Amino acid sequence: MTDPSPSLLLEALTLTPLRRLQLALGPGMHALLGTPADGTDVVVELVSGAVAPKRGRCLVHGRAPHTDPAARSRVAAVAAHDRHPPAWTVERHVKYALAARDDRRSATDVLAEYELASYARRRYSRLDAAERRAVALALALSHPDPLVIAAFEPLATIGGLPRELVVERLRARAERCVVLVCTSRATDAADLGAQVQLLYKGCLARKPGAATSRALAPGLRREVIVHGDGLRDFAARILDSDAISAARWERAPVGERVVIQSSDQHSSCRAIAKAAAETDANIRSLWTSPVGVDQAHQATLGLARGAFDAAHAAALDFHSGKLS
Amino acid sequence: MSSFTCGMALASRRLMTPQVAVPWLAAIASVAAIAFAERYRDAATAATNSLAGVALGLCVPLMCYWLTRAAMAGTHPTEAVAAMARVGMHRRGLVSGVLLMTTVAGMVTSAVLAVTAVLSAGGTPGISLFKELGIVIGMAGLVGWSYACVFAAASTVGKNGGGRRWVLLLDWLLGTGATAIALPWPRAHARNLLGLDAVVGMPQWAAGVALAMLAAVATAWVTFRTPA
Repeated sequence: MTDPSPSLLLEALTLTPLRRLQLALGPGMHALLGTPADGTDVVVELVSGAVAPKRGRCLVHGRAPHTDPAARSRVAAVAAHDRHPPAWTVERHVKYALAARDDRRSATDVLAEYELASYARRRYSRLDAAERRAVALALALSHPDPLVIAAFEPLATIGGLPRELVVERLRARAERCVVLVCTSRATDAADLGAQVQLLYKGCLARKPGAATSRALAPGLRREVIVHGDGLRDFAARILDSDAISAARWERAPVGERVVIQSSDQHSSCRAIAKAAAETDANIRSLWTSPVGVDQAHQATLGLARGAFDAAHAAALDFHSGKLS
Repeated sequence: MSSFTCGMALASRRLMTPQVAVPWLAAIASVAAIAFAERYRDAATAATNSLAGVALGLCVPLMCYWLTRAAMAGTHPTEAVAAMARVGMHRRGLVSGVLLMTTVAGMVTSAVLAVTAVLSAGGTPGISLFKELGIVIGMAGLVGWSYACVFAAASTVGKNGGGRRWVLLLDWLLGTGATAIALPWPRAHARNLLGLDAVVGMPQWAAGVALAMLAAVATAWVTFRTPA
């Protein structure tokens, strides 16, 4: 029989800038897409038990991490920044952290596993922010039995930690526990294969599910960037296609590139293939520009406005029908 | 590895820095210089004047304030141990460890300053120097303990432990009196212990009890104000 209660419950959580944040998560990979101004860093602080909410509750398997050290020891967190870091060596810091969760492994082994052995003798307080986050991430990923992993931007500014290793370990962890990633980069959420929720000004604005441009910003004109050589003719030819709304040729540091705008990605890909076949274009790479968090927020506001206008029009129709 | 041990290690690292060592040496040098000057002014009262004035009256409160501030990383006790609490350590255990190291540092500093004052002043005529040093170490240790605990308790109040500054100021302003308003301040009981003004007519021995009670209440306050 499975436990019906969520592993991580944020109930009407209020702490500036969060406003009555409501979130119930079970095991899996989840991403909150937003900026620190939207409260992503505060969410990690609350889940890790570093701060108490002003109102509402934050529960990990029914226990509040802020007041329960046992619950806190089962939360592996990577915060935005470490205030007042201890002045001892990294090795000693990791040793104390391992002792807190009854982990018998040696600090050197844990650091070596994440290619951070060179940090061992350095003073923890003298590491820069990225290096300190790398140590925190190594500690979080090496947790033997976490209930929740809460990480702020786990794929950005992580010192010498290999990105592929972090992605692989986080994905493996997501099969057994809640992995909550707070990020402002949709590409990071997509790389992790996370279920995305949009955080906007402290509230959950939307649940697009996937970190794809179609889900995050519906209706947005997507840009496809073609990189290669001999693209002048290609840029002129591709404008013949109805699917393409604009194409801009520019000289790149190496070769040339064409930035193509279209409303439908599939049609634009077909047009690119056709234009490339008809010209002497030598295409080296092709990629779509990622959707920014600002674009996702603007799309959210647009959707909300659209829903309001539709409801308003429906209400007006209803009343006019009634009167006539 | 307990949270308490980790708290002690955390505080000792923060206390063993040049930012603490330099004021510590400066305090000893100023106590020695002023007590030496007192000795040439009036040898009979030099030891008492130096103890009540520059040592226990000025340098001990300032040094205890500075030690508490350094051990708490210039902030609130809960915030000072946040890095280790985040990985699952018990906050109260951590803060208790930090508090123990702070009080030990406060007691040692206070005793060293008092001994420096007595030795530089040449002791009190008619009293054995060893006996006087024994009494002075006990008294100064008690005063240092009390100050360290009171400053730690004040650190739990205000933004970034700003309550410490207020306690330092109020102790200076209100602790020199002998009325009931002087009761909560360590300075008043330290003066009574040295044989100066008795707070609300309390006997000299009661000043030691009052200082111990202030330290105990302050410790309980810190524990109460720190979440698990």
